[in-house]
Parts: sequence; structure tokens; C-alpha cells
Amino acid sequence: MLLEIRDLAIDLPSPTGARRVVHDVSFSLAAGESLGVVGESGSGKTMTALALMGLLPDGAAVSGAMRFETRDLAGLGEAEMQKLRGDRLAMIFQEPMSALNPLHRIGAQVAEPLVLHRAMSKAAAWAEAVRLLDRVRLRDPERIARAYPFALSGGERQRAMIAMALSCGPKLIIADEPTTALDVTVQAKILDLLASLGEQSDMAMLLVSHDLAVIARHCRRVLVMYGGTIMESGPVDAVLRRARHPYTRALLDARPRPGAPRGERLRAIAGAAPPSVSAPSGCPFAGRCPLTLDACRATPLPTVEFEADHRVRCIRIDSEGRLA
Amino acid sequence: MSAIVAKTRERGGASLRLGAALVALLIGAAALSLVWTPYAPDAIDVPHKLLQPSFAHWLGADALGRDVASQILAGARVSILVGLIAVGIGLVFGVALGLLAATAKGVVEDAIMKLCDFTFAFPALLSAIMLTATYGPGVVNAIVAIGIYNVPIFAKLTRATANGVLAREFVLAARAAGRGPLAIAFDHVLPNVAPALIVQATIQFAVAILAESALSYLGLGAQPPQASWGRMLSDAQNWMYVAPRLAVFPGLAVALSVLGLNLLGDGLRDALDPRLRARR
Amino acid sequence: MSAPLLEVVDLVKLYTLARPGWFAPHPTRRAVDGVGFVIAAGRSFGVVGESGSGKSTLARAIMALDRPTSGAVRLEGRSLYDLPRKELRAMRAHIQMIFQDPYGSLDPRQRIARIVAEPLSNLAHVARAERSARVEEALRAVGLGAADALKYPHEFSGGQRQRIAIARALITRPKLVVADEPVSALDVSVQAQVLNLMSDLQREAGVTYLVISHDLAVVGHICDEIAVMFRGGFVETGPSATLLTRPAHPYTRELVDAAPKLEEAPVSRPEAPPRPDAATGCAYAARCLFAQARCLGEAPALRVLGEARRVACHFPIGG
Repeated sequence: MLLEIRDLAIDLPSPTGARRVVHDVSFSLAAGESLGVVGESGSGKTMTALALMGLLPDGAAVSGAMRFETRDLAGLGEAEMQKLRGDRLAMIFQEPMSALNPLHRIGAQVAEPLVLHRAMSKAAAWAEAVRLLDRVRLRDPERIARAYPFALSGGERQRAMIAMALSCGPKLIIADEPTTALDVTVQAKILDLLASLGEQSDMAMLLVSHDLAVIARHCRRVLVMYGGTIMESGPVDAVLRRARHPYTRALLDARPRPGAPRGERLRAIAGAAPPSVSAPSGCPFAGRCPLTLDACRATPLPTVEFEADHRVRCIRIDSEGRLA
Repeated sequence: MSAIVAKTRERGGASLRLGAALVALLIGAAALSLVWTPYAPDAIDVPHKLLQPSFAHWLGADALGRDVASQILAGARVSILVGLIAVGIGLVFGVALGLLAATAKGVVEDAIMKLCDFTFAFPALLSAIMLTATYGPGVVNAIVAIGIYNVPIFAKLTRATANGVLAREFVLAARAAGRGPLAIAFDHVLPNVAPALIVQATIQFAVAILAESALSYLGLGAQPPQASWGRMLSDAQNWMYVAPRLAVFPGLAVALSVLGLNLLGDGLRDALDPRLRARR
Repeated sequence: MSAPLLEVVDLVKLYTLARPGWFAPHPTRRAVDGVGFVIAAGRSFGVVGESGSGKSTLARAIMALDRPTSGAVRLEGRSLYDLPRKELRAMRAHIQMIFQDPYGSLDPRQRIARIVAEPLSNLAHVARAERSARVEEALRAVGLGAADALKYPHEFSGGQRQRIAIARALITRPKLVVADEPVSALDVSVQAQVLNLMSDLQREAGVTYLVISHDLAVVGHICDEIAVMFRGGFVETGPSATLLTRPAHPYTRELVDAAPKLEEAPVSRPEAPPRPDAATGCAYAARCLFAQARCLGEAPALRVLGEARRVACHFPIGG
């Protein structure tokens, strides 16, 4: 296993004391595998990604184990994490404009990890940067390398960010909503690019998104998060086509279908997602869930396993998949 | 993100409390001096000159026998007056010009900004000295001189912040609702610009106090027998080796007031801004 | 035959850009390049496009927030840009807007009551007492309560703030509501709530929408007719169901294919061979899989393709 997370919990400081934004999260990722994490705001998916990179805000407390290759990331200090970041683990962010420094040329930014981690000379790193920009299918990579971020389109900047993330050949790439800020026609191309690059270099990918369909198309396995914990996980086919958790089903039902009769009522989920864990012991979806019972708020979430590693966390689903 | 915001607010709280306490002390001293001072601040009592601090004179007496403590209290009045009016002039004219520049844009904006730059080109204190030297010394002239310099500061700040506010979607929504530029300036821009202005005002208040002290020190501000910390500092020069406390007490008064105002400004900035940006 | 609710005729908006040198002419960008369409009362209309398509510029021109370079916008037969200022202000009661960002479109320093009542200041005949009644009515219509009128925006979630924005848009009982990306900034589950609300209002209050979005599914859900916009012009218009299931323009087809869908297997699209962006000819030709010589030389006009459909293509899909 490339990555193994056990009982991850993340607390953030707030004026009213520590707020638990992620709890009870466990999953693993094999080399070369693509895992999608889907969730809405407050689900904890971005915090989980940031925790892996050691980029949580000041004052955040992490507990649990995060084993990457042979080391536990939770125990590493900042200096150690800096050695890993960009080299073995890399991250791509949602807003390419704010993730790229507007005052430096693209080539210099893509070359930076190489200079840092591979001790390459600036010239050699620049040449490699141009090669990387070509690998991410940017036309005229030399011109792009010399350009500044403002001269590029959103899609081009995102490709440049991918090139930067790939430069040292990381084993794991974490992509946090990498295409949300992009046009839909560009989205598809960027995600296809990530997938093919992953295959070429045996690189694992953790794709965080709010868009189920994006995950469906580009990941083998998926975790569905809500209110800071995992509700359902498993192979994409199983989870999305044979969803068992009421939240996953509600999420799937809520999307408007192109071609459906105009004005057809969508099956919305009443209420809003909790900003942080409101039910420390029970299910965060209790109350909004159509199957809620009183027991839901008090009972800790079990994990029910189905075939092919398809897991559901709900007290109302029994091992046969029937309503309990 | 909200975690960082929360922490900043905690740290800001300490500045705010300390700053507010010091400023309250300043205001309290001035208010008190209106009804009571241990002695009349201008009561000359030469036989009792240069007394050490004692029960009779808490902070001692100066070269003319005047009670130092009473002068400090009365001097607070001048400092506050100068601060209030100078900042007041700056706010009234500066904010109006800034709003005009931001709303009218084009030639009007350019003209106003150039006027501000022109004013900035003259060193503030030197110009204040020039003005008071030309039109005669006195507190009123000192206030006006300092106040003039506050106008471009507030104008530029207002314009920059107003531009940011005008780019927000709720202003577009107001236009779509049929509100005119004047209504938008008062109902939407001003309330959103206010926090930045409040913070700057506390800073300018401190600057005004310092400027008044400097002018009075040079003999161009408050004239005797009016008590002023700057004048006290000037008078204390001759007695530096004999009675350095005559400079220490007014100096401390100025320093604490300026410190208090700056801390208040810092604390307010932390307290006011994040709430505006506090979202989910 | 009554006048259509909204008529846009040959709308053009040009932006002049910084010139590359002191002696070079200012280049212009045609953000909106001769767009025209008609919206009938009760038939909601959607404009779909990606970034750079000009759809937001179009929305602002229709709302009379940005004067176009040329062209006309007629609301119930009256040309908005020919009206004197006072009358234009009065007309604003009939055409209101919902903005994209629920966090930016409400003034954080005002209470909800004041925010929702703002458009009423246009209507001189609404007395004070009636104002609060209207605010309450509007809030109730979007599923919020009278108590919410006293709160501030930061006390609400994204979905609730968007509802408040809808309440504000409805308070003058407008004939047409322009919605610019009404649900893009919301979570999926909340999107459904807001879309349901919009459909309900369509049915119950007879609201006609002009929805601007990049999301085909959202537009398809609310609108009877859709126009697809590319680089400042419409490339296809037609009834929603037909346009989404049998697109005639290659760009519409590209959008439909690119939208990630759960039900079908992904459609892998070959990359179009790189072609220089020509100054003449079809704007989409550089990316088009079906482009031919004629496309590079001659820009196709928007012409009728039968059953209320129009396409700007020399070789539309399906004949």
C-alpha cells in the first residue's frame, strides 16, 4: 500500500474551542491507483487532502496514522515534510491563478521543484521544465515557459500547475477540485491528461471533487464524505450505480438530468450540510436523512461490508443490504 | 481559513483592550480637567518652583511654580481637541473627495488624486510650521494646519477602498434595483468603507497629537498661559540637568496617548475586518 | 398577437483594448457580436456558454447595466436604451436579476429586510407599511420566514442567501428575471433546492426566466428554449429537449459530450488538428472536428433549420 490512513481526526481552532472537522477516516491507496473523494462543503474532504500534505492551518491538530510509503506523515516535522512535498507527494489546487506566482515566469515555477529536490542547475531545470510543459500537451512549450501566468488561459495555467506537480515524478498526486474553475470542455481534457499521465508513470492520484460525475469518469474507487467522515466507499461502479448509503443515493438523485421533462421536481435534500461535526458519536447525516431514527444520533457508525470492498456506514443497512 | 481568522481576533483582542484603556485614560484626564485640577494650571507660584513630587504637588512643580499634574491634565484637553478637529476636518473633506473620485471616475478622479499627490509633496510638519508662522501661532491655526494634511490621506484611502466596494456584486444589484450613484455611495459604499476609515482615524489622531506637541514645542501651537504637553517639553529644556522629570512627565503623556491610539487602531482593524470577510 | 416579453435586436458590445505600441491602432474585442432573440412571456430562455463567450456581457446589456455599442433591447415593446433616465428606472421594476455569487450579491452590512426591499425604492407608490408586508411575502415565497428579515447575510448558508437574492429579485413582481449562474456556487444538494424553488415560482407566480449558465443540465431544467453562445455570437438556438438530445452545431455537441454524465460511458473525443485562429470564417472552425475549407473562409449566418431551430453552421449535424 502506498498510502494508509487509519482513524484520522482533524481539529481546527475556533473562538468556541477546538472544532472537529474530520473524524474516523480510514482508507488506503495502492501505487498507481486513482481514488476519488466526493463531498459537499463541510464534508472534510479538502481538510483531509491538506492533512496529507501537512498544509493544515496554524493551530490544527491531527490524530491518527497517515502512513505514506514507509513513514507516518503525522509525526513528521515541517522540515521533513518540505523534503517530501514536490518530490514524493504533490498537490494541484483549484484556482490556478492564485496557486501560481504572478511575478515569476511559468518555466521558473515549473523548474523550482527540480532545483530544490534534484539539485539541478537552473539551466538544466529550465530545459526539463520545457519538456514537462510539452508532456502536459501545451502547444509551443518554449513560449509558455517564458510567459507569465496572466498571459495564459485557465486551462493552460492548470496544465502548467500539473507540470510543476509532476516534475520530480511523485508517487502520489493530490488534486483538489482541479477543474472546478475551468470550462467544461477544458475540464474533460485536463482530467483525461491526469489519468493518462498517472498510467504512464505509475503515479497514484487522490482526486477531491464535489462532482460525482467527474469522479465516476476518472477514478477506480471512491469515498463519499459527509460531515467529516466517510459514509460510503468502494469501486466507482458499485458505489455510484448500486449506491447503498442514503446520502449517496440522495446526492445521485439530486442532479438535474439533461433531457428530462422541463420543470420536473428534483429530489432535493432538505436542510444544509453541518459546518463541523455536530454529532460527535452518531451520524452527521441524521436529521436530513429520510431514514433517520433516534438511534442514529447516538450510535457510533458501524462499517458494513459488501462485495469487492464496498463499504457503507449506516446503522440501518444490514449485511444483506436490506433496510434494518 | 476560519481558524486563522479566529486566532487573529483573539490576538487583536489584547491590543484592543489595552488601547481602549489608554485612550479612556486620555479622555478621562481631559474631561476631569474641565471640572477639577489639583491647582489652576496657570497658577504661577515662584517661591515654590522646581519642587519634587510630594503630597502637595503629585508630579512636582515647574520653573514657575506651576503644578505639573494640573498642566498634564489640562494639556490633555488641547491634545484631544486638536486630534478631534484635525481628524474631523480630514474625514469630512477627505471622505467626500474620495467618494466623489471613486464614483465619478475619469477626469474628476484624476484631478482629485493629483491634488492629493500635490499636497503630499510638501512635508507635512514643515508646511504646518509655515502656515502657523504666516498666520500667527495658536491652537486654532495649528489644528487647521494639521487638518489640511489629513484630507488627502482620507481621500486616497476612501477612494481605494470605495473602488473595491464598487466592484462587489451587491453594488451591481443595487444598480439593477434602480438606485442612483448618490444612494449607492451612502447606503452601500460608506458603511463598507467605514471600518478602514475608523482605523485610519485612530492613527491620524495619534499623529495629530504628535504634531501639536511639535508645534507647541516650537512655540507655534498653544500659547502660554494655555497648558500643552509640547509647551511643557519646550520649557523643560532649560532644566534638563536640574529637573529632568519636567520633560519626562509630558513626554510620557504623549507617548502613552500615541501608544494607546495605535493599539486601538490595530485592535479595531483586527476586530472589524475579519467579520466582514467571515463567511461559511 | 401580443408583443413579446423581451426582444433583443442585433446587440453588439465592443471593448477597446490597450494598443500594443504608440502608433498602433487600438484592437477591439467583440464581446457580443450581433446577438438577437425573442422571449415570449411564460417561455423561459437559457443562454449557455463557456468563459469568453460573452454571456455575462449579454446579461448586463439586457439589464441595462452596461450600455451596448449598438443594438436594441425591448421590454414589452419599449426600447430600454431610448428611455429617459426616470422611465428606465421605473422599467427596472419589471426586469430583475439574480447574481451568481450568493456571498457577494448581498451587502454584508445591511439587514435582510433592507436588502430585499431595495428594488422597491423605485416604485413610488409602495407605502412604508406595505413595504414590510411585501418583504414578508417575498421571503415566504422563497421558503424563509418573517423572522429572517432582521438578520444579517453572514447568518445564512449559501443556499439560503441565494433564496434571499431570489426574494429580492421577485419583490417588484417583475415580468422577467435574469438569472446569471444562479446555482453554480452552491453544493449539489442545495442546487436542487434552489432549482426546485425556481421551477415552483415559474408555475405558481408565472415568472419568466432568462438563465445564463455554463451548465447545460441546469439550463435544460428550467428553460423551454436554449441558445448556445460562442465567442460573442449564438451558434445554435432551439427547444431545450431537442437541442440537448440532438444538437445540430458541432460546438453544442462538444458541450453535450463534455458534460460528465454518470449514466453513459465517457465519450472520448479526438483532438482537433491545430488550426490558426482565422480572422474570417467561422469562429469555431479552429476547434471543429468537421471543419472544411468553406468554414475557414466564410462565417456562417444563423439560419433557420426547421421547427423553431436556428444554427450558424455550413454543415450542421443531421443535415
